[in-house]
Amino acid sequence: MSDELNAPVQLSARHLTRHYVTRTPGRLRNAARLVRAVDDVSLDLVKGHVTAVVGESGSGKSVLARMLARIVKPTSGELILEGTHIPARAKRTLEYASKVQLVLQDPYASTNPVHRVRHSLERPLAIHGAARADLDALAKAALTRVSLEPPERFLERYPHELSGGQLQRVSIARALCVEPNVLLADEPISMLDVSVRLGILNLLRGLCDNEHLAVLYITHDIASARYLADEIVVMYAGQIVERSRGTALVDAPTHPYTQLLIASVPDPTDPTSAALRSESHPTFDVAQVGCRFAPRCPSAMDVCRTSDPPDFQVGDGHVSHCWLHADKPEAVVEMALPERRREGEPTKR
Amino acid sequence: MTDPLPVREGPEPDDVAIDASVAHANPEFVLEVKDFCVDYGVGAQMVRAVNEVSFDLRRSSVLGVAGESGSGKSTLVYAMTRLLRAPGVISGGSATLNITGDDGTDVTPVDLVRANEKQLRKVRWSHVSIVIQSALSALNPVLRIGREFDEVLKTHRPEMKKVERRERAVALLGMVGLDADRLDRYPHELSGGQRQRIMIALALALDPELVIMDEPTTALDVVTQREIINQLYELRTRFGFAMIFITHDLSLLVELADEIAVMYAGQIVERARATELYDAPRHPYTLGLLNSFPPLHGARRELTGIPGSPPDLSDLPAGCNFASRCPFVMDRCRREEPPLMALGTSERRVACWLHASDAESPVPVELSRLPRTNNDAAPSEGVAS
Amino acid sequence: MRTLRLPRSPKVLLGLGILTFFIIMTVIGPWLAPYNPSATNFLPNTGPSAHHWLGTTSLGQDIFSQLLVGARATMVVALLAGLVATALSMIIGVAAGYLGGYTDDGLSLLSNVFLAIPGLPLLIVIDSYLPVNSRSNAFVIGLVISLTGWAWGARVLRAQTMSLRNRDFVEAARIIGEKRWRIMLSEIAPNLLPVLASSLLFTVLYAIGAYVTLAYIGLTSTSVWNWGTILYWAQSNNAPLSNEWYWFVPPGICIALVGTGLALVNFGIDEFINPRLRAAGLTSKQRRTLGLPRRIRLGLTPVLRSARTPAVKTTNAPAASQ
Repeated sequence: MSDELNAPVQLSARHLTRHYVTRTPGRLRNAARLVRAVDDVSLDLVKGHVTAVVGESGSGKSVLARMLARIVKPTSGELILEGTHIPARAKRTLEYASKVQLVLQDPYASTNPVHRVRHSLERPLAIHGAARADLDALAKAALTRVSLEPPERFLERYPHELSGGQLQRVSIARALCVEPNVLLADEPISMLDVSVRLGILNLLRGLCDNEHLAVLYITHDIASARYLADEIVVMYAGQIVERSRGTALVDAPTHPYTQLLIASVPDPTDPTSAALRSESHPTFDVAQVGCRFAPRCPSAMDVCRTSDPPDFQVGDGHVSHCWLHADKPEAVVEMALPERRREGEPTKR
Repeated sequence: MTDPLPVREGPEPDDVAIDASVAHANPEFVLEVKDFCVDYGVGAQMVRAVNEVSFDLRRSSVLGVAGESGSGKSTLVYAMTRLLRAPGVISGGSATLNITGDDGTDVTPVDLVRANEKQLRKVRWSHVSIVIQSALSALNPVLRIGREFDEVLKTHRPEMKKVERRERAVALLGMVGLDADRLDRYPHELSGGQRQRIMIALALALDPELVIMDEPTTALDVVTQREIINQLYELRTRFGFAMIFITHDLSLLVELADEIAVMYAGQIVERARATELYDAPRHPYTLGLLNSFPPLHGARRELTGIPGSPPDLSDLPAGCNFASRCPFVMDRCRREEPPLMALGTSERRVACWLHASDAESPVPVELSRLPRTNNDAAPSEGVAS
Repeated sequence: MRTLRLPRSPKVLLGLGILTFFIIMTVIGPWLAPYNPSATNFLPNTGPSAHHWLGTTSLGQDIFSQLLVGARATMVVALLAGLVATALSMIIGVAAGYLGGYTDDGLSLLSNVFLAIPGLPLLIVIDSYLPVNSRSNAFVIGLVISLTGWAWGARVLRAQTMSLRNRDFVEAARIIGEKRWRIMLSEIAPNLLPVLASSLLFTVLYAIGAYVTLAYIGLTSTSVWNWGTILYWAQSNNAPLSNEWYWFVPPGICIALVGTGLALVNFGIDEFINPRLRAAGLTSKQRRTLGLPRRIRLGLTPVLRSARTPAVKTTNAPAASQ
């Protein structure tokens, strides 16, 4: 047990960028276009904390998760795992896999339909060095950790015999088998029935609190992010446009995109219509200058169309990527999270 | 999207003779569904997906149908319009569509269940249209959008000339907020939101009286969803069609629907006006469902959703289907299945023994809240702790 | 594995029946044969009779015994060739599909070459290089045939593997740190079983054809009896011209029947993979009494004719939920 393991920050990403080259087929000028799926993203994943990344499809959040899991190589930027720099071109090691795990969106697609649950759990155990004799007990322990009890009942089932919620718990159990320090969850509940979603969210929260994992929760649903997270990050067109600790950005959003998101969520208690300009979807071209959100922004100014804004510190732990807040000081990338506080909440769940 | 019914030559299939005849139609309602049952498979492996569902839909009103997997909400509407795929069969009940003639006064009832192919073709798309769940992939990828409109109009209005069809297509696109140049594009050149609007425009092409929407915004992001919902609201106000809107997102329905029916395990378990259902649910499942949506405002507290898993339709328990997951379950619930009963004198319906007139214990406080008295007052927040 | 349901389709049952019959013939044929097929001490060129059910050849050999004994070599070689070819196509196809890059380019080139070269001339050329004594060895012939029969299956399996490669569960296996060869063997290959089974059936079909052709041309040793050899002798003794149908028709029918059986069983595999193709568990008689049309058309959901049956509910107490 070295000192690194006691440090609060488990995994850091600094200026991660991922480009894709596309060619539009069938055009006369078949020039290559550079698509920036993720652009200069910096994040800290802290032990015992949940960080939520909120964005629409196409915002780059899934690519970000895969870069953090190192199954996609970043075009530039660096990762720091427990204080050690990881070179971008290095191969993904088994050791990294034992520290950082990823849970995918569709539980039925992410389990092999021809293998029983037992296989899905025993493989990661065996790969990461468990003895044959211990496999059964460890698999049962993993199922118990995700509240699938009695574990014997589930070990011999096939994936199609379980419900979506149960199968997603199996996926999480599989990720936990290797005893990671960081758990990345890419939209873990969007394909589940509404009534089982909270069970999975509470499970993630429980794992974070009781086992001190660092959890990254990716979603398009800002309400569930608000429910679960200690820090919320909003992504648009590959960039982080706003981030805050706690619920600050949901209660008092400062970036027009966040405001649009929150206004668009159906809220029967507060029916105000969202102000929209025109319908256009985000473009990721490198050639585009200025703020990515300017074409859709109701408050766009001239400066927004010519240069990309820096991050401005609009509050304690609250950063906004928008020229509207140019009067505030510029934010520094490194963020240290203090002891988390939540209002009116018992200390133990 | 072309008419889903294939054009076939040859003799019509025989009218299938079924027991009761259709009661005379009530022209106030555009759709009357009685004791509707749908099974998957027959014989020993039969699974009942929709069990004796009855409801009426007033003209120009919006009915929201909420439920999760296994609730039967999609099966219900596909079977009603006879679009359900094998091995689905309709095993009972009736679904009567009261169509108005061209002059707007003459009302003819058409029982969709007993209708033959000719009658269905007459009614489909002109009087009832449907936007299906996978609408984003329902557009033919090798046809331009204009061609889709052309096919629909040609099939149902053969007397229209090409120029008139084009004009109508442009008008329809304008109705959903798209430019006319979209007619020359292919589906893959458009965004998800635009394709969904085109599906809606196609559904409205012949000015139907009833439009059915099966989870139209589930695959879209929340901002596009908001635009689509606003658009639908505006279209409904303008054209006055009735709508059945199916979704799992209850909060969406409260904004859009006049009435909401909540389905569980193939049955309607609660039916009420939208705001009443949201403020004052009466069925434990509705309560659980409402509590499954983390709120955007207010203090953060732990919510539990509903324990257990959605029901297995091939292995339903005796008594109430929801008993194993219900926090207020009583002995009676495990023995007898509660019917859909009226609550007092209102039009509210709920299928729960807690609200039976001869219930032993009083109704739990969470299920006896009062709805807001006028639309402006803010309701109490969250569940009473 | 999943519980195997006995197929109900009459096509598949017929196919299985045919194959079972011939497998039995393969196993006990030589034991059942009344005479030594090579014995020439019978009256030549007689038609079917009580002593010789299928008559005798020009050399005085009993054709029925030849047929029974010949079944073994034919079927064994065909099965062997089919298995080896399918194994080859699986290794090459999955490796090419999953590994991609230069491996894929090289292996695809290899399979394209083998596809382009006509199979029979290649067989003849390879066969002519074999030493004469090994031509009587069924295994060698089987191997040679499998060399020309793997390429098509490899292409199909490569395409399937490429589509499986992007599935989430393969990505999940990579995430937990599974090695590549284990992913191919343990995650991808089991999902290819239906395609493999189909490929095997067709390869066996091809192998029978190839073996019989080789024997018919006279490239295999005549000391080993198979159906092709019977045809060879029939042809060289002008049996068709002399209207000795009992000589060349029976082996031809046997070959055709085996092929038909294999094709019919292949239908069953399609239905096994795709449950929607199954007829919703009903016989046509049941469907008629219930009032359902013979073929259910899209857009015209059927309505049951009989009175509505109430929903069946189990009377057990609900199982404890998760």
